[in-house]
Amino acid sequence: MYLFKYILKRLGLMLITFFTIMVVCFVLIKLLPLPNVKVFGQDSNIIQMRREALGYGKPILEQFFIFLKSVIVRGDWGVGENMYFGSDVSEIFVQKLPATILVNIYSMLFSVPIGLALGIYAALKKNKWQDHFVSTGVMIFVSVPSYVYAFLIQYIFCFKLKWFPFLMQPCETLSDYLSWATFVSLIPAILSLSFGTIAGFTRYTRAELTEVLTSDFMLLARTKGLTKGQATVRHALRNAMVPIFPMIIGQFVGILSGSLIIESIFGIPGVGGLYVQSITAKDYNFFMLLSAFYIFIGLAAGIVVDISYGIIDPRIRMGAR
Amino acid sequence: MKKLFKKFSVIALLLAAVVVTVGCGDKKTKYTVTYYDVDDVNTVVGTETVVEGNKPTGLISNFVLESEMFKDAAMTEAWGNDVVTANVSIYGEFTSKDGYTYQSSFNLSPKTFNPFQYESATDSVPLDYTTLGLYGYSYNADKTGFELKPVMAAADPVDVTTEYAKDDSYGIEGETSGYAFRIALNRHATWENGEVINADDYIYSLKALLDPKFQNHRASDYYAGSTAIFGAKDFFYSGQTTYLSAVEVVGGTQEGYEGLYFDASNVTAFANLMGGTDLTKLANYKGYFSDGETNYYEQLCQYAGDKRVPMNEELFTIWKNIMTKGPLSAYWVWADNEMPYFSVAKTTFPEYPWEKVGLKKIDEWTVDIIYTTQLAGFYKKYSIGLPLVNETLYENCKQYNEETKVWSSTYGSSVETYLGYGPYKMTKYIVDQLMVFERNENWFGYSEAFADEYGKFVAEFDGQVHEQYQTDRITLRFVQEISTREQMFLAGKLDGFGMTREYYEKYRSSIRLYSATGASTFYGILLSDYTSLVEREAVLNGVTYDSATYDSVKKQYNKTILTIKEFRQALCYAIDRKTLVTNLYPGGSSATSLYSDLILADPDAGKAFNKYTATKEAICEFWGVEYGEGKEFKTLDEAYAAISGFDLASAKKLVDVAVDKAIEQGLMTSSTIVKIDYCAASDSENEQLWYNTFNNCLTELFKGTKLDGKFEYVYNPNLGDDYGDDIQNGLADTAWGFGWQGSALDPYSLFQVYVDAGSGESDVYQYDKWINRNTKNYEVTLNIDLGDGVKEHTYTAYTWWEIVNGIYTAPEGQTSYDASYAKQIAGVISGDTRATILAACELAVLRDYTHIPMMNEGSVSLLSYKVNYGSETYMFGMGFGGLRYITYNYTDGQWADYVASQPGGNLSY
Repeated sequence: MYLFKYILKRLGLMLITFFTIMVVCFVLIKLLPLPNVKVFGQDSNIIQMRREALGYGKPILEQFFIFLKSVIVRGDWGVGENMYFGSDVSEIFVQKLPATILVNIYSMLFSVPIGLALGIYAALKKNKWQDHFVSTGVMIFVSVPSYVYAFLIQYIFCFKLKWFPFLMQPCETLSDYLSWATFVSLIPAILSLSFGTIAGFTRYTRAELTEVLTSDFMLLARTKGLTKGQATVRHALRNAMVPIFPMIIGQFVGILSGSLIIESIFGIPGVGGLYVQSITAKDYNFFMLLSAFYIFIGLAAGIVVDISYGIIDPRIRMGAR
Repeated sequence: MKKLFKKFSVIALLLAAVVVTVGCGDKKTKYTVTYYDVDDVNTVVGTETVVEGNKPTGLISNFVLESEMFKDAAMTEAWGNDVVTANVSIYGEFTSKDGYTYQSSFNLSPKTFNPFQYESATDSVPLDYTTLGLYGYSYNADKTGFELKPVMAAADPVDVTTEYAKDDSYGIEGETSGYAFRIALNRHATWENGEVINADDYIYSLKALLDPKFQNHRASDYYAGSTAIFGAKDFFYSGQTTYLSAVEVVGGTQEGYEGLYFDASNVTAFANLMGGTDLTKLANYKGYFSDGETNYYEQLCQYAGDKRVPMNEELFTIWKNIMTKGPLSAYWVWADNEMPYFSVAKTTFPEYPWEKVGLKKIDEWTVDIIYTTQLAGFYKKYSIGLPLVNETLYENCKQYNEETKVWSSTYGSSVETYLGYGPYKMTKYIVDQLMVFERNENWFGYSEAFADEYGKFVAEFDGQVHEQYQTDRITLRFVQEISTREQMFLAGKLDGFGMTREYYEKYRSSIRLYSATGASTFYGILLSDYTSLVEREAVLNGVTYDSATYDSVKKQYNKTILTIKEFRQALCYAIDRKTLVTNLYPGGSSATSLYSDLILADPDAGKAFNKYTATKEAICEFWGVEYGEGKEFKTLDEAYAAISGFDLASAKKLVDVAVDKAIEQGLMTSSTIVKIDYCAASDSENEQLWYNTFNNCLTELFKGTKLDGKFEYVYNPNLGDDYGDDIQNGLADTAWGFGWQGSALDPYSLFQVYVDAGSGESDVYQYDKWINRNTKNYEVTLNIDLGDGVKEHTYTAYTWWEIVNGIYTAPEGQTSYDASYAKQIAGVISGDTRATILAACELAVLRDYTHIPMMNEGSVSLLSYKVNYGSETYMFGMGFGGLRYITYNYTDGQWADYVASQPGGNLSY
């Protein structure tokens, strides 16, 4: 009951926060000056008239309520004005989102188990050569940005060895995205994204597990007769996962924002650059849709992460006084 | 657990060993190729083991191992007797057709390919492949030039001016030629779906383009400039709402401020006060908006910034204080009802009937077009054109948002929402991924009837007869990274590679390297306006500028030396253009005048403006290059060809002269540090490189001069999107690499960008807008024949621009050259005379040293061994011949074989 009330309360707060941030986003983007573009021989009044027709001259709050009405009443987020002209912004977004999600999910599926495994292994071999080996690798992978791997991977595996195509397979339908060919074409991008993630999880897991393994209750577990393996899996790992699991969820949320550079190197038509592009191009409809999406995902993830603490560790009781 | 991790370690080490071995080994890899059904990639239809480098026998001829295409095949990689974990996919085009595919790329996603809305070069790519104009470029008989031939039209235009000049319905009463033309349409033209294109399509399309509800971006192509169709602008503006200077809307006086708005970017009254310089932005006047105690400028900025807000009591009071208490009170006698001078007002244009617009259907295959400007000679066919969209589809693409009351169109956003009528049709468009164009079998040009025009031709590279439009298919992949494009090009996946400076260094000796010169000239803009400079100087010295108390001499840093002409001249001479272009801008060329060699003053004869004697003389005079007996150069041509624009010795002398003058004028002392900004729109590695280059040039310049060790060039890449306005408004000390595109065939029209500081009705393009070239200082006297015999004529540079463009209206009682110069376009008056006028005016502009010619536009690219251009020489309008004349050395299959046979499967250029 406590949890249910807690969730309801959080959802209510989430809605208020969502609305507030949306208003702030709308006002801020509208406050940015619109570029005054001049092309020799062309009438720049057209741009002014279009802006007038779009209602840019109206008070900002009035514009916000028109926008809100359009979204709520008609579910219409508008069409692109300065990007993907005339296309429904939500359609473009939905069209581009799968590529981002796909490459990042593959990357997560690849990197989380390896990262956890290496972290556990390093923790268990603390201060031995295996630990030093893993830690050195982690330092290298954490230090070097993913785009460096991306260029190297593309050069070696796509250009020199020709194991993979240079670019992601063009996809139109869901079955295209889920095809084997698409998966293979994404491998260079998956690898590029994974090295950093693997290193991050390895380092974090090692640190958490090392701490837990030296706890008193681990000694107790061993003295009551559990083997090291049993004590590690049943007690140490579970405790170590309390901070790690939310990190995985956080990583998953990060997935949706995409990776601008990796997407651009491997021709992945994702949403990586869309948000920045919408601000640069001052395309309000795209900006508001993307803002709404990311705000919602961010807030929802916060709730999920908080609730997950209680599920992973029953000692943490959400909403209890 | 321990065992498990031990096993894991062993596996990891083995995997690492395998990777290393695979990477380093030279063994041939065996592949198991799995064949899938073309239409169902989940159904396996067979397998085959193939050794690396060989062709799988079960595939059709254009498929080889490692070729990247679109359909699916899969294989597992075999290593000895074991199958290792890595799976490899290969992609094959499962088609039995072996043809000619031109593989290209784009690095920016098209915003739209709606013919009414396109803007960028990327936007127009699909239109280039799928549409054609009424008249189009073709090589002339000996391929030394080009000519305009009917394409979507059936014949040359017929002049029917007299039919429409009987009364003033079309504004051309009494005219006899050059305004109205009858166009016979090509009866073979069809949409790609086979539907016939006739006069109704053109009428509908122009009306749709000008539909006021849509504010279509390309509308001004048909209502402005030399291609303005009568009534088009009025129809387009019907019912449109915009904000104009309130004086134009409500007149000079109004009680109260109802309906008035304050717009920081449109304060025209001050422009009038300052003598018509049209400094309409608030920022230009901040020095005047203070009464010594209160800074009203800051108050106004808090109110509006760059936005438009309704006028209210508080704003009204601020304005009143500015005009009555500040220094402007000396210029303006304030009256409360004169607020319209300082505000804008909303205005709505009246309705205009479509029937009055100058496009008339004569019959199903004939239309008449009535223009507002007289057209003749080359400009007739060059200017005549009409938009074209498919009526049924366009109507289906219209969208209206009930809430926002905004109309928009999805036309040209997908394959389904677009219909072309050119040699190719779009068959696939996946946003941000891929575009595919295939031969449009319904295009009339492929039929026997047009074999003479679009059939065979003799290619320059081998002197053999080839087919035009040999390309069967064009694929465009979205590739953002240039390194990826390079690798794809070397792997045979792209047929062209446009490169930047870094790559040019690598491939500069390649036999497949092509350079193309563009028509634009980029120049440096040097700020010479004292007010702007002294304000910036004050900020630099940490004080607020006050004209009454500010003393430049006492300040540590100086900027106002830029007002000294010799200083700007020294900067101009100090730029080693040839080295700069060679090192930083491959494909470009050093510029020594305002126009590049590709700007044609006489398109009929293909004569560039820079080829006229008067032009060469003016440029020689500007650079101080002398010729004739006893001079360094014997002839004008020799002298002109020798101009490099770099003369460090003279530049150093000019610096010393400038410093002396600046000290004499009380701008600085001999110990003052000159600190000026290198201004750019945004920061980038490339921008920093340019800055470093200029910084080095200037460092060399000041060595051994009176400014040795007393000059700082500051990198300031913060102009942003509105860099053009900022430069015009005196917010940039120096800005390099700016220019204008357009009007490549009309330098006379393009001259507006140098002399039109603001007519109040049109856009202001002049970068050095603080200079009014319509004053006595800019009078140019010429002894020429303006149609009434050789006489001496004196006009300002601005007026000369009006005269050569036929838009000058003389004051009452004086001769107007309006009509005569409009006629000269038709060849009545000598083209040499017109060039003489422009050359003299060009010299007048250059002598200000505010526009410093730097380099002419250019690009370099590699062309794959697969294809050849139709011409080895780049020509305006024709390029290297375009897709129409591209010929192939290999079919797709042969090309894949050829690439695979190269060492490492990659090509060498």
